[in-house]
Amino acid sequence: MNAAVNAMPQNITPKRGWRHLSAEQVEAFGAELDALRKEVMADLGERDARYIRRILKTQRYSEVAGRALLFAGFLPPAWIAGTALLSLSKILENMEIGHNVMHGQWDWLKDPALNSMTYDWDNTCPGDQWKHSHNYMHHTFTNIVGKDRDVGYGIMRLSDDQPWKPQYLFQPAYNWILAAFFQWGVALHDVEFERIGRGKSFAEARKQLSGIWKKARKQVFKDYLLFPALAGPGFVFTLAGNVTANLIRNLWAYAVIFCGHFTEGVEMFSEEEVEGETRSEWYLRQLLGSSNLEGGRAFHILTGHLSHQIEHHLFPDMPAHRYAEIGPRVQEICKRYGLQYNTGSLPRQFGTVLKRIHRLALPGRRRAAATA
Amino acid sequence: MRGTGWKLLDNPITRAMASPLSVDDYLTQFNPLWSVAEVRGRIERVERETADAVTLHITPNGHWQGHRAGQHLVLGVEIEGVRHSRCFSISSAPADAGITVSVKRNGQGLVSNYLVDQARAGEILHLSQARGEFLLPEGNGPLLMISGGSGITPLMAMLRQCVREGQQRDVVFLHYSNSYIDTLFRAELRALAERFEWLTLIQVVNEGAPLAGDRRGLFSAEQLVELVPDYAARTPLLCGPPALMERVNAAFERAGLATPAQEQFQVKVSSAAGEGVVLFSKSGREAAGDSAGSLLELAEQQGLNPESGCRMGICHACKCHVSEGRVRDLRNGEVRDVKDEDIQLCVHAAAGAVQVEL
Repeated sequence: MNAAVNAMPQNITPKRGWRHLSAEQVEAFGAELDALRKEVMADLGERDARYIRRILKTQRYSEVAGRALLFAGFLPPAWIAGTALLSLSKILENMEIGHNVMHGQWDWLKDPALNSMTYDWDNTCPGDQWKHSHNYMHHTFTNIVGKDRDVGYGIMRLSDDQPWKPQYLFQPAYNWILAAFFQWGVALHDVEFERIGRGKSFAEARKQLSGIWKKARKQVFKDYLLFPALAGPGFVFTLAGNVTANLIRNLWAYAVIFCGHFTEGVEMFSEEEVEGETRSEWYLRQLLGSSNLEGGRAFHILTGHLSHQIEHHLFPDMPAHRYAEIGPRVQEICKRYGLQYNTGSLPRQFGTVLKRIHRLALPGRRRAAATA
Repeated sequence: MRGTGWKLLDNPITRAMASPLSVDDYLTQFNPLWSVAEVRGRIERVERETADAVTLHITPNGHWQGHRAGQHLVLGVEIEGVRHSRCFSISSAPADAGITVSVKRNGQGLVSNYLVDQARAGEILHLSQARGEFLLPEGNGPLLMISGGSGITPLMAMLRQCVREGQQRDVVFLHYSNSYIDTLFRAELRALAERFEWLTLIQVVNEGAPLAGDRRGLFSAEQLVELVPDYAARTPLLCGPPALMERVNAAFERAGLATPAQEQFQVKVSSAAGEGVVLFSKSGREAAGDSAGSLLELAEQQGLNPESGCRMGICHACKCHVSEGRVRDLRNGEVRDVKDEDIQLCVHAAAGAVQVEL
């Protein structure tokens, strides 16, 4: 592990993407977003409730059907269909349900099954640790090099402003290991290994690790022992199906999440830059530090609407299916203020992420991307 | 399936299969009444009682443990997708099949108004077990039931129990309402009074001409003496709006009698707004105490969604940890300092700086 996140960035041009705006314009921009948020939140109702309940139903039915089909996993078509349904269910549960419920997007329904305080997702990361590392750290300090641990997750160099270290030479390779085991990376994220012994005590880290193990062993037991055992002679087929479903979910979540903040043109910030930041400036940082993915309705749902990463970062507790509706309006506001609205197809955006991972594996920095 | 049957579905294996979700998270998707532990019910029929009151006939699932006449339950219903819970008295007798809840429209009352205007057969309700200590007294002593408006419901359950069980108990049923046409269970009450010697029905109405034996006006001690001369010899039971209950209690106290066993179905809370500054410590939000009545309303104004139920200090669903602060109990106006205490947000207001863990 390394200390990249604690290192001071050496040279960051302040407020790049909104240099052209006056303080008044910045506040006016923030006011427009506030008004948009207010409008949507006041409009929440039955339509939204119906939407999330339909998603819940789809997820539960596909999980039950997937696991049932895997019991007949010795038949290739049943194995493929079962694995596909289980993958679908895990993707829906992690992205559109778990992530969004734990953001508090559905608390207003007052449904205990969709409450951010009690919901825990089918992921090796315990819900309470996720809410700290993600809802609080990442969403508050988005793209602040040295504070937002999602910038490189403590193991990768994803910003020019992170000082280079020899281990980064291998990041093009271990990037794929992270992708394959993404939920485990997420699980260990909040332990902050690089801070142990420095800002963080061993006791605290041990407590977190025991929480992770308590959570993760349930998934390990369920997916790799219990369901395979229930399949009896089909043990291996069910095990293989479950491993594959977790792998597919990992790769998918990894790709979507890496496209949220590490695409070309996404801006990084320094701690000094954001000192005394107003709410409107926070909005600007969220906008310029995030990037969207284009696609159809099903694609957006499967990404948990993180394809609308920009809207999600502007309004993290707004029910996510509304992001697709307000996207064009956010884009229009950005256009009027001459602000970048970073969007593109998944292959294009992911391509730029891979480029960044490879380029930053090598020492040196480039300004071009940052000032674009 | 009985409650015990469902409990068999809740074992270490099924829980491990559902983990980290619960077994209910799956069962509910197949049938909203299915649950390993929760009481839920389906509205079978909505019966219109008066222009502004209905009776919901509810079939609860196997977890329902029955009730005793006079008890209430917390009923949760989805309105525009959002679950709202309120307390309602059960109006059916324990021996009846299913349960009934009778609801009267209530000013701005969101849930009551929804149930009266829009509840439909087939709708699923989230229920609590029956609770409450307002019960039909044991033995065979004479009773005086005093009710006002929709406060009639728990007493109606008791009366129905007397009828179902063939108790030939001497009952005076004294009911206060706006008018005859407004009276819940009016036809049934009259029919019972005609059929049974042991039941005396007296109504006091606010509007229109009273029938023989009935009266017009409000409750008074003199009226009670006149209508029920032997009232002091009867076990009194009381349920009605706060104004009526205050008057009845005062009359009994002045006569040197113990006040009746009673159930409040509306809490008379002081309308005074809070004071000071309320800090919601988990969300980091801060609000002036005077911008709402109760701490619950204040939290909701701030966009927080604490659990809540009856909103009248009965169900304790909204209990929340207060690390420190000065609060006013809205039921009696008492101000006190609390430290590390769980309080019911719905019946407390800020009376100074308060720190709520929300």
